[in-house]
Amino acid sequence: MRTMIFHVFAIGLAAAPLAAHAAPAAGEASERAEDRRTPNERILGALTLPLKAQALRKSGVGEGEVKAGLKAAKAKKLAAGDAAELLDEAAKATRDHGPVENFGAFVQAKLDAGLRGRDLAAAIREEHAAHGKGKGKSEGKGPPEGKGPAEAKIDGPPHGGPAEGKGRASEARTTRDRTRAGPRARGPTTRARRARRPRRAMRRTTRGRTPRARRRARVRATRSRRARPPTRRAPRTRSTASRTRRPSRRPRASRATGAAAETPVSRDRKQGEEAEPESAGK
Amino acid sequence: MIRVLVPVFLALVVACGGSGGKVDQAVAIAKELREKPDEAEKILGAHQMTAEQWETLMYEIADDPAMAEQFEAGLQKK
Repeated sequence: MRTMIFHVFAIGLAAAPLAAHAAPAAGEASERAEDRRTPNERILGALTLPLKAQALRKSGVGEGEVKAGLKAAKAKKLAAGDAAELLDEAAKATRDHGPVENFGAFVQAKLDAGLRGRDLAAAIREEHAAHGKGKGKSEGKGPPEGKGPAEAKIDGPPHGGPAEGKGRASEARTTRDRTRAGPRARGPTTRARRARRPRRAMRRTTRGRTPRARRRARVRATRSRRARPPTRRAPRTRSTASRTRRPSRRPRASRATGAAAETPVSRDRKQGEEAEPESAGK
Repeated sequence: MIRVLVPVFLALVVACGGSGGKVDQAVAIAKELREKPDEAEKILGAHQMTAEQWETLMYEIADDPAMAEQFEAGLQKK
């Protein structure tokens, strides 16, 4: 057991320096590639840096992100030509997949990890493909910047018709629009629609008939309409009741004389009263 | 008062003209480099500039959107 532990420990000690040298190896390789460039190539490569930075800005990356990326490249003493390539790759990826958040921090992290040249370009491409928020992912799903949500296009009137109570029922296409548009735009009620039906039916059926047959059909339709139970009326309110009240049978007393007017009943009573004293006198 | 204002004015002139001058110089060098790419080092030497200084200048212009735009526009002009 002790021998095994000793062996494992020895292997670990031997492998540690190899692993420690593995990370800088990539950086060194890219540095060597930089060194391989002739001074002329370095100078000409640097020439494109401002142009690539502008291209990145135009592709939609924020100013802060561009500056952070440039700062990271400068801090790592990246050749201006390499920085230009990096920005160019980022601009292309942004055009294809949309910008990524914290582009500057991402570049910084990758440079810290020792990525340079093609590896760095590939990492940028992958990052944009995975986390790019824009064109590539939502193509055709919604409108571009500030033109409203995609939902509005689906639910709204298809030909620019009014949606909020301004148009007629036929113009407010969807149920949602009709509800918003108010009672007028909702169109006729179910009862009204039913009431229209027989007329339409008659119109359809009477085509191509003789005048007599047409007349009969019309009569039949009228009868069927009459046969239906009468529609409910609104309950009478006080105001309507007072307006339609019948005049009472009892006549009003004449204001001028103050005497009560004669009614058939009062007349009988009067006659009876007159007859009683006469009989009492007898 | 005048003693204070004159240096301030001069500093402003240098600051404003400085960036424009840098960009103009960079545009002039870049045009020459594009014409004769094989003689890049010579061209920089003629302008009393090393490759490192040129790279630093390019970084500086790229970092400033106004300067970068001016540089781009200057290169497009013939």
